[in-house]
Amino acid sequence: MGVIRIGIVDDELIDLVTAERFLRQVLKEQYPKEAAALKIDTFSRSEDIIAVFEPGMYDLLIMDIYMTGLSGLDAAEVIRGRDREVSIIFLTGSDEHLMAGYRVFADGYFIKPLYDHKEEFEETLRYVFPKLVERYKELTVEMGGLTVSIPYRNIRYIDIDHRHQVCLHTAGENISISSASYEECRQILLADKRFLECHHRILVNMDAIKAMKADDFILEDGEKIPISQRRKKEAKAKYMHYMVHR
Amino acid sequence: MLNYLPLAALFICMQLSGAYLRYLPFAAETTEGRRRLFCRCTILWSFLSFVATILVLWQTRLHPGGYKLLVAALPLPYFFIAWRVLGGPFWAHLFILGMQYLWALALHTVVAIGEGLWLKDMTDGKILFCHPLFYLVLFLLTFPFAGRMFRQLLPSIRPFANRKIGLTLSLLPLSIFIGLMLPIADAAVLHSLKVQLSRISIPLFLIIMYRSVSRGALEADARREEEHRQKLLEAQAAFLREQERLLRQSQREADRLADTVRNDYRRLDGYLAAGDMRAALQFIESKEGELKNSRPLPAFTTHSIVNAALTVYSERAKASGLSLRCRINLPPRLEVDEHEFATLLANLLENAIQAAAPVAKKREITLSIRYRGSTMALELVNPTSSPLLLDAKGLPVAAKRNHGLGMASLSAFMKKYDAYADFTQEGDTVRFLLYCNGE
Repeated sequence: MGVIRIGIVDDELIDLVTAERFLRQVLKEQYPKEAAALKIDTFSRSEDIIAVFEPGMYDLLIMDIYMTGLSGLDAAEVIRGRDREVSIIFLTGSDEHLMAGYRVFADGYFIKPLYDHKEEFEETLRYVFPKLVERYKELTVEMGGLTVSIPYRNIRYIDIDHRHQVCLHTAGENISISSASYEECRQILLADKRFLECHHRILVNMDAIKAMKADDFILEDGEKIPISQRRKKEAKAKYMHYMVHR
Repeated sequence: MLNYLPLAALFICMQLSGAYLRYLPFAAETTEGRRRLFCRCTILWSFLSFVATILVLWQTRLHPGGYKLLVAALPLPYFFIAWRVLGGPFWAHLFILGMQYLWALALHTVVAIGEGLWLKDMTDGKILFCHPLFYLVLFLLTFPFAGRMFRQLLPSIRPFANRKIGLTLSLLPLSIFIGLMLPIADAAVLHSLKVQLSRISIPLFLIIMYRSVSRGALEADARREEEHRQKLLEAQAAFLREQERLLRQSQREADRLADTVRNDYRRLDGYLAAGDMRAALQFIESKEGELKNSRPLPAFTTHSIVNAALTVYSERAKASGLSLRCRINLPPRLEVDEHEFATLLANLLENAIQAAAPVAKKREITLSIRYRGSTMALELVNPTSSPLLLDAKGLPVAAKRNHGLGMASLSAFMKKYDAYADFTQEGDTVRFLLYCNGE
């Protein structure tokens, strides 16, 4: 399990400190294992986080909407343009900016003061935090006598190679596994909402899909994964639903 | 056996000509990949059936009964290839098969009439040998007409949206063909001119009637589309006017609020200057309640026309006692035309509100739009009290006359942007998904 990295941005020092303290307290109570592998950075200005932000730098950003200088919403738009994966939660005094928050597909909002809205805080965290943990899920396989863990997010797709062995196509290389059957991998991976069986014995990670064509999925690197005629409607509907709700 | 090689080759050419005619109604919707797969499967099967045809002709020694059976049965594997590879509803392929059989029967009969008139002195064997060649020549001569007809053959009329009725109607041409074939399923090579003329009249009559009816339907469709386009423009203008009204209302509200705040500051100032903290705090508490009830118009997106459409329909949903939840994430620059997209959203929401209005429970419509790079996905979920009927293209069929505006706009949008749409119904909930690849 990797370190979960959270950034908090608020121009009010007291709100910044409160948010960090609150977050650590709730996570320690509800997710003690993950709380031990937690790194929180704080920023007092949107401009500061934008200056250093890179894709993959944070798993979650908690941002105040109204700040002097660049607003949290505008900063979130810049950040979303760089990283479509990072979860964003807004800190706000009321829920009337929720609609605007969805422009950057924010995962939710915390209402200030946090101690007066603890239940809503915990509810939003219960919705968002498991998604962060899921990013670090790994597939454990036996290879050459060794146990190897491959993060789900690195798997582009799985199929059967010419030797009828399960082949994991990852970002860097293609790995053939003789110790596991396709059916075993299928059962494990289909339990994760990222994976879709779009063709006979082909499981694709929907996060790796760049575009959906009439008969194929096109991956980020240009590779085509065919969609079976029989499963077309169902596979496409699942992908579209995933794309909207990921 | 090798003597039957040329005849078997001509048989296969006949089958390929029929397969091509049956492909034409689906050609416009077929992707390049499917087209190539269809060609490969057809050619592969043609090699196999070429061998099988030689064997059958050799075994039956060119018996007319076996010959006719081959002509009638050989198209069937091609039919299954087309259905599985090209996709589309089974009833559509069945309908096309029936119509192609009737057209082929008409051509065969015309050739047989010619053979009866000019080749009656030839032996049966020679006639059977030459028949496919004459058929192919006549096929090529009539192809400009037949090709045009078959391209427009698939009906999109409402009866076919009902599966049972659709299947029954699609069997009509096939059953007429079987009815015409049964009396001539014998060992005679040529029948009398009277029998031949009667055999040709029914399929030609059916084809001509169908062509007239479908041409009329196409013209009616074109008129409806034009009316829809007009209505789309009117709807677009209407929701822009409504947005303008809402904005003016919001502006008046904001001005009133500004005046109120100024007055409130003066009063508060008065309390503080008099040292009356209790009165000041009570006054602030009363004002907080007022502020909570005053809400500006939501900004769903920075694209003003799309925002106008969403604002208007959010208000309309509220007026119908429904709640519209929106999660809108659009890119700074839309890959599609904003006016067309706003019109599409307006029509989809109009349909959703109409479907949801009679429902007593779960009175909520949710609209989610998300983009990724140049691709965009949209999901619209609404409750409904009526079953969803889909046409051959997978789009809902309008339940009432002069409705269906939304689907016409969706169909046009999908065609222009090569978008993909999916409608499903689970119990009393309809889910619509739309995918658009901007590239």
